[in-house]
This record gives sequence, C-alpha cells and structure tokens, in this order.
Amino acid sequence: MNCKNVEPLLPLYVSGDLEAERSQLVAAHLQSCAQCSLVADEYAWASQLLQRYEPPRFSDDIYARLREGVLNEIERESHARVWSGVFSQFFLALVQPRMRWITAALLLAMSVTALYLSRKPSRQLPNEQQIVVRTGEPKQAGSGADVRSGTSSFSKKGKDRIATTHRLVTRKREAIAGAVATNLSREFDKTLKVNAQPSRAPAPMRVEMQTSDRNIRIIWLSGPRPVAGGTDGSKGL
Amino acid sequence: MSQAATIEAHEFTVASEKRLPENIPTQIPGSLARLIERAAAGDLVAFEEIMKHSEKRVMRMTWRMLGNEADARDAAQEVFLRVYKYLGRFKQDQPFFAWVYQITLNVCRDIAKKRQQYNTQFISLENDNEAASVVSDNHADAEETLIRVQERELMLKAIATLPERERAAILLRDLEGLSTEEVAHIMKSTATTVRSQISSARQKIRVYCGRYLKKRGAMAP
Repeated sequence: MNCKNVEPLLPLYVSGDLEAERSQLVAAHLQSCAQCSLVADEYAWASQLLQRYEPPRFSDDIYARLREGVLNEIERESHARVWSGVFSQFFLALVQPRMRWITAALLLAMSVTALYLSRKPSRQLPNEQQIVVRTGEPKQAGSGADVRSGTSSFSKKGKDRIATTHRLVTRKREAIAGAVATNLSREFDKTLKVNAQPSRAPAPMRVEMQTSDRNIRIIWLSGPRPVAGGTDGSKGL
Repeated sequence: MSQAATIEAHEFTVASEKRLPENIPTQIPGSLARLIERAAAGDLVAFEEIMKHSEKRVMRMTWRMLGNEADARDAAQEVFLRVYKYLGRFKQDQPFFAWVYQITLNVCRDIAKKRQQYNTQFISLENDNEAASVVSDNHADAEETLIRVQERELMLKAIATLPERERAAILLRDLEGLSTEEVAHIMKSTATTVRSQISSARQKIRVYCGRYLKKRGAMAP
C-alpha cells in the first residue's frame, strides 16, 4: 500500500472502522511512512477534540420544564381534538345510511321554513319603501323641502297640516299593508282629499312615494298645480 | 408490545452501553415496552416516564446538532410531542431509541432550516458565559475550564461547517457511540454511505482544527 491508497483510509482507521485485513495493511504502512503517521496523529487528535464536544450540564429544572411543557401541549391538543371529534362525529352520524332520510327530511323542512319566512309579507308596504311628504308653497319654500328636515321656512299652519298629513299617511300605510300599488294610489287620493278639506288652504300639497325601483317614483299633487318651470321642476308621474 | 420487542430494546441498550461514554445514561428499565404500550394508549404518566428515560439523550443530541440551548430545548420539546403523536405508529420490532433519534434528526433539520431563513448563526453564546464565569474560580481550574470552553467552541465551529447529514452521522457514531449499521438505520441509509459520510466529516474537522491551530500559532508571540 502506498500513501495515495492509505490516506483516504486514515479517517476510518483511527476509529477502528476498517476491516481487520485493511487495518493491518494501513498499520504496516504507517510504521514505515512518517508523513502518513503524522496525518494519522492529526486524525486521532481531532477525534479526541470531538469527544469534548459536550453540551453544558443542563439542570434538573430545565428537564422538569421540558416535560411540563410537553405534557401541557399534549393536553391542550387533546382538548382541541375532543371538540373537533364531537363535531366531526355529529356530522358523520348525519351522513350515515340509516340517518340519511332523517337528514334529508330535516334539510327539506329547514329549506321550506326559510322559503316561507322569506316570502311572508312584512308589515311594511312591499313596494313603497319610503314615503316623502312635501309641501308646496313653492313661492316661500323655493323648493319642495322634506318635512323631516324641519326647515324653518314653513308657516305654522303648513307645519300642522304636514303633521296631520304625515299621521294620516302613516296610518294609511299600516292599513293598506299588502295592497297592490294601484289600490294604493286611490287610497292616497282619498287621504289627500280628507287632508285638504279641513285646512281649506289653497296651498298646494305634494306627496311622493319612492318605490323599490329607483326609477319609479309616485307623486300626488293637490291644490293648484305648480307653475311650469317652477323652482321644484319635478313632474307628475 | 411483544416480548421480542422488549428484548430488542434491551439489546439495543446493551449494544450501545459498550461504546457509550460514562455520562450517557444507559439504564433503560425492562418495562420500557409496557411503558410504550401504555403511553400509546394515552397514558401520560407512562409517557412522562419515557421522557425521563430519554430526555438527556434527546437534549444532548439536539444541542450538538443545533449548537445552542434555546434551540435545543425547543427541538427537544418538539421531539417528544412527535414521539407522543406517532407512538401508535412505532413498529415494535425496531429499537425505540433509534426511532427517537430519527425523530430528533428530523426535528433538528426542520429547526435548522427555519434558522437559515432568519440568518441566525450557529454560534452559541452560552460558552462565553461559561468562560466568563470561570474567572471567579481558582486559577488552575479556571485555566482548564477556559481551555475546555475554547476547545468546545472550536468543535462547535468545525461541526457547523459540516453538511447536515455528515454532521448527524459523525455525532451519532463518534459521540452517541452507535455502530455504523445503527447510524445507517437511523438515517435510512446504507452502512457504506454512512462510512463515507463519517470519513468525509472527520477529514473536514481535522483540516478545520489544523487550520485553526496554525492561525493561533502564527498569532502567538
């Protein structure tokens, strides 16, 4: 064996990892070769150094905390698993063959109930989402001011009239819940007549109803019509 | 748990015992198999006993692989969590501690990858603390401790230069005292490959340490 053959075997030779036969050949070479012998010593020295690569002494407290941490984590995970297991078992039970019909019936009942509730007419008017009562007096107000805004440009009489009209309209809204839009218009005409009579005021009145369709607005006018090209500018439907 | 598995676990211990350094605990109770069985069924008391028997090995290995105490503790915790999680999958015909080592290496590899992402260093600071603490000791002891710390620091750096598989192979073979075949089993490799990895690792360590000594010799007055 020459140096070229021996050198790659030295790392294994120093720790006794070579087979006996090869180990003897290397040993024989080392006795005659100072250079390879030096390299072998270096390997032995590095191996000794490696043995000193020991971790610091960990205290019992560190190990106790390690165990505690692990056990806590296991318990935390097992709790989470229990809950997820309960839910998964519940849903699994629902899809089991003998539960399928019950599940289907349950789902059907839920769907029908939801459908019924969604189609049931509400207490509010179905089409008229918003009713805006506007008063005329275009010369004073300048424009159809919203009653709810409570602008100071209205006279006391006008305000009273508006309030009365509003009450009536509200009452009517409750009374005609569920009625179709065509009936509504007649009802409102009556309302406006009732409203117009006691006041005997010539001031025009304007009632607007916004339907669910943004493009359709129902407007009732009573009293003298506003002047064409007036400040309001709005037209009847 | 079969009796064969108990014997297997015991044999593994006995085989390792011959090569292990003095400070490596080798006492594994004969009831290990029963403990494993109970722990696999969810008995936490039994699992705690298993931890007590293997925590030193695991901590030592994680420290050697990762180079600092904080990472070693995190890794050890993760190792035991995985051991508990997969205890049901543990094949009873294989040695238990080899299986634990396999998990340990996997966890260390995961943590090392994470650490590489954050560009943290494989250099421990706790050695510096130890070096500083020896100042108060008596002079002879202090010098000896300082040399020990320096040597450990040198090895820490040398091992840090090794590829992950070479590092694992040399640590298991030279420091944990396992046979080449056992290392190959743990690393799911062949004995020839492991021998080659160990040879390469030893060569690199020798070169690194030699270079360090030359540099220190040149710097010395």
